[in-house]
Amino acid sequence: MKPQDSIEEKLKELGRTIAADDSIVESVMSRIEAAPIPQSNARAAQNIWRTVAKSRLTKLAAAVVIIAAVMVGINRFGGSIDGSSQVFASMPVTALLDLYVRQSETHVNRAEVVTALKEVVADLSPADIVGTGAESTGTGADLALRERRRGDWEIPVSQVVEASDVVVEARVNQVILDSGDLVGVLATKYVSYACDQAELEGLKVDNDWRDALWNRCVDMLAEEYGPVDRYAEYFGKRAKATVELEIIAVYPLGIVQAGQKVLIRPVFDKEQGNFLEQGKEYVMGLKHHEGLFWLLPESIGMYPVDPNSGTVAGFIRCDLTSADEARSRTLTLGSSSSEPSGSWSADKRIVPITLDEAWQFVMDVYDAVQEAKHPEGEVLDYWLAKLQSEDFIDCWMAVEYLGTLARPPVEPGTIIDAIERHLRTSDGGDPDEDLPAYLNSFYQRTRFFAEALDLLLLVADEPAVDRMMALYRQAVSSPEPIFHEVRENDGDVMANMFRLALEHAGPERRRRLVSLLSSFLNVNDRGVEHELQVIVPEEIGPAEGEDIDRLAMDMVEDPASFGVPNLECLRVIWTTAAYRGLPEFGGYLDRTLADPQTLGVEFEDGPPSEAQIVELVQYSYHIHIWAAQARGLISRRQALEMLVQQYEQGNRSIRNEYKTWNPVIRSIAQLIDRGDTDLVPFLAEVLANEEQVPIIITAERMLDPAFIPAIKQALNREVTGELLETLFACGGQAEAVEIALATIDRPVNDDPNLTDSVRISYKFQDRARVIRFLGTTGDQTLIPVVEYFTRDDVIEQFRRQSPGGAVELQRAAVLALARLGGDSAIPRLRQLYESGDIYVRILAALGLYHLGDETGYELIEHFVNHTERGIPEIEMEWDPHSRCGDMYELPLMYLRSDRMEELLFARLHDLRHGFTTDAGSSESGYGYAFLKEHKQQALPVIVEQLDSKNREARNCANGTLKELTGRDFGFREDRFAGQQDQVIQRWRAYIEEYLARNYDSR
Amino acid sequence: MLTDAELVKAVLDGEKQAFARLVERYERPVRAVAMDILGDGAAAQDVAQDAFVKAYVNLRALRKPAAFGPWIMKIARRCALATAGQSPGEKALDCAKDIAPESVDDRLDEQKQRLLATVVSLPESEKQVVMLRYFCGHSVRDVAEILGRSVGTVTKQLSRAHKRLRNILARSEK
Repeated sequence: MKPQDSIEEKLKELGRTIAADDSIVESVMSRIEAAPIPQSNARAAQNIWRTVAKSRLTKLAAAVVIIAAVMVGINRFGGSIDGSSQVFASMPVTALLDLYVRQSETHVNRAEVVTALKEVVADLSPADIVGTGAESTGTGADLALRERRRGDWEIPVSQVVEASDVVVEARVNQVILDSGDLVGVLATKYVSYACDQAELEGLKVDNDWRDALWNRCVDMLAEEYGPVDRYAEYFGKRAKATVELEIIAVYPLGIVQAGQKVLIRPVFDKEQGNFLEQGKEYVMGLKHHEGLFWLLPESIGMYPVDPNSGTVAGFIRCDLTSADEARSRTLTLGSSSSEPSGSWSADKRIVPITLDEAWQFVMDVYDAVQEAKHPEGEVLDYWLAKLQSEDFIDCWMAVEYLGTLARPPVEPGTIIDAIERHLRTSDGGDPDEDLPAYLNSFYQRTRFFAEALDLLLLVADEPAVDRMMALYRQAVSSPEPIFHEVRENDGDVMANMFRLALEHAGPERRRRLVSLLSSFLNVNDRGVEHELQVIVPEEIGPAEGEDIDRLAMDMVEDPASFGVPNLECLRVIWTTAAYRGLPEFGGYLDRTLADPQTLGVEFEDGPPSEAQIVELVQYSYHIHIWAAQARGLISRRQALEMLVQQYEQGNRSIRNEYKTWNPVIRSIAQLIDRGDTDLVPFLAEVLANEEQVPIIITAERMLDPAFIPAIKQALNREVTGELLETLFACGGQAEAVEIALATIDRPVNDDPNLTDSVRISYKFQDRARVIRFLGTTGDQTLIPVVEYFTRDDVIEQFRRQSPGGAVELQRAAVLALARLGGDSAIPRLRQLYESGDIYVRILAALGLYHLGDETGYELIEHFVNHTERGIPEIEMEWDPHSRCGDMYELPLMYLRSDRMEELLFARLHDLRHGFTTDAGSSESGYGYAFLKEHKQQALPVIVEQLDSKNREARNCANGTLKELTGRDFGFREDRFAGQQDQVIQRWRAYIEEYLARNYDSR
Repeated sequence: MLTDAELVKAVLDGEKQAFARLVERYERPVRAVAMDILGDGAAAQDVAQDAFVKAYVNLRALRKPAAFGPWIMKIARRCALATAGQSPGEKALDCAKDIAPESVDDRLDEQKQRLLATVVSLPESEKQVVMLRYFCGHSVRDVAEILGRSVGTVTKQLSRAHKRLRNILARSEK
């Protein structure tokens, strides 16, 4: 049973219990028998909506809803590298394309199409199947096997054509790969092939088998291509390749000529071992940018040609006729609501097709894409018919397609008709029977509404806007089903729409959006809630948001006249004002706190209680101060003083069921530094009163003996490495060491009832921190204690309790040993560098370097220049969802030294390669840790990577910038370089400002 | 099905029987609110009666007829707190201790009591739809009609309430 069902069952059961009592209707009615009939209340009869509807502001607000929604620039389908894949929804060519469109480009019938395709594949003889792209290099049996494994299948041929600037037939003259790369690629390929074969023979393939095979392959290949001793090949070489192509044929003409030779930089898919082979011919899609040719991302877009048979593998078989005929066939489909059928889909077979057929396909698809961008005549009629369809999905597809055109040739009235028609309907079934299905339909219509409005904005005239406003007014004022999805949900809808719109907006559109948003804040009778407070402060700067600021303050000061319906809505408005950093808002909070009655607001359910107001004011104070500091409106010190003042005045509460810490104290802890010694008495008192505080005031931030009693009190509750370090740093050295030694003498898991492996592993992590603490004491008499935990035989004993936890202890001990140094450390670390555990080797190398020993230098150099995935042992257990950066961040911080800093500084420029490597890692963890510590130097370097031609580099740069700064300007790595100049400019401006602001700080 | 607003209007227009419909509609939610505070079914039954009588007498004070549901539940809460001898600012979590031994059978078990308390702590709009849907057994469409909201709104509120209840209960079980 799903959890959702479970809660529903519990509620029903509770309902049955409550219902078990006798009805009280008769008793109540007999008791009121003698009571007089209540008199009608005149105020209750007011039609609030009628009043509201007369308001000019409300009209404007309704228009905003309409217009802003329309302005959402969308890349609904995604997928192509230049963001133009929407045109795909418009393929007016064949049934096959229509099928494909439904499968890949839209949200509908995907499973259905995949199932249908699988059935077709199953009917074919394996020998007939050659397959496509990255998933299909090999025999028919290969493909069938992979198909069964993946459970999903895609044919990117038409997508390739659509996304390419040019499609070429070319011979690979030369592939320049270095041997290190080749070993990795080939080993992966061989292992994959051998595993497939083994499975076909019914053998069980497990990880051990795979590992053994991998090692054998690497050894074998090393013999052929060079030694792999200590992975020198991996460390010394970069996984780069250059391919020279000789063009045989090309479409369209103009960008490159037949007979010409071009160099491309392919991105190999090492996972699949799929790459271009020298001497072979391929049909491939290329992107042309600034005079350079690029293969499409990953390995899609390479279709091998067999020169003997004159066929291409990977295309879908089609009985191609001329483009005109295909088009005319399609045009007859416009009037039919059934699935169109054409000769291309009559034979959905995946077989090699002739080069002529392939080229015909390419040209036809290419022309269709161009045609779709400028529809006219019957093609246009086809889509207009879909727009007017009673079928929701057909209509939605038409909206999506037409919305991609620069000037959609469609009457605004037709769009509004579509909106009205489909928002009135709901085919999600019975909500009592299947709530999730119903909600799915609900959200689909919400999205449809947003997209339809987007389309409308492109063509709307004044009468259309009036009509839309009337519809919207009807929605707000009536419980009728029209717009019902939107009525209660518009906060979410609007928030998302504005985010998207601002993300894609140019300067002019942005200006209009900001203006619209400011008007939207001024909406009556609807909750200005949900996420507006997030959008407004983060997306819109102070200068352009002047109107918003004024409105926000108007709403703060006179919520009653804005019809603020509830406390939550008021909280959002106040938060918005706080995040905007409005100076007058602080004064307002002061006045309100002094006399909560001055708020003078009444919600739907009556006036708020005084306690609620006080709570809200206190919360808002905290946000206001924090936000003002973050925006540079007040200094860190001023913010700190204001927060302390608030805390001392008792303004420290917050209504947040999820938070166990005091947010005011948390903010204070984030702001203090070692120089704020005047705050020691205050913090000592706070430490004693707030249970969570010792954890957040660490040795890094504040040291004073005054904290010792409170820290010891906290250590009585739980011993952590962080607290021990704090106690040590505050002057309680002997006590801290004593507590640590007593702790490591105890069993890691002293609770016999605790068997949960996860919780046990947490205990081991805690213990590892205690060992690391010992390393920080500088007391070399502790070396034997620490060294004890580096021993394999000792770790082996712990392994029985927690395999992962035991390893943690050993790694912590290696680090601690390096930190303590001493005569015995280097020989022991050299021994550990020979460990079978790659992570222990890495830490030992870092430790040795820290102590001035070069034994592990090659390993360190590798990290600085490459990524951790370049090491096969790590590659084999790589989890794309986890970030190995932490693995290096900790040692870097822990073993900090001038020597290490010097090395990293010298490599700052090379760190770029951490972002551009094609090893596939998202980042160099070691490099990242460095970047975090040295933002000043790193940020300007990283921001330049946003303009990289390498998608992975763009992705990494954007991700790293976001993580380092906490900002997000909506950069999209899937857009080709050069397409997001404006976003990059915003990043540059922000970083310039950031650097200027933080000039004095590290 | 008449909406709350229509029934209130009918009562104000002199149709006393319309109030019986409102009592039918809300007696279980009202009892649930009282039971959350008192922990005792019999006492909650009495408080529910008092609450409805008070509501009838003060019906003219109700500014928004459509808000009858939240209003009657607030009245019930105040009555229950008064019965438990508590000020409105605090909740009588431990009042069950004082209940006479013979009423033990009317009490909810611990799990149900916790669930009920969680339901009562939901935001007003969600609390109302949960109570009407699960305590009164109305269909979603009926709840929508009663409250004068759209079906889409009610389903969304139900869905959010489920999520919130799951989260709160999960946290309390940790």
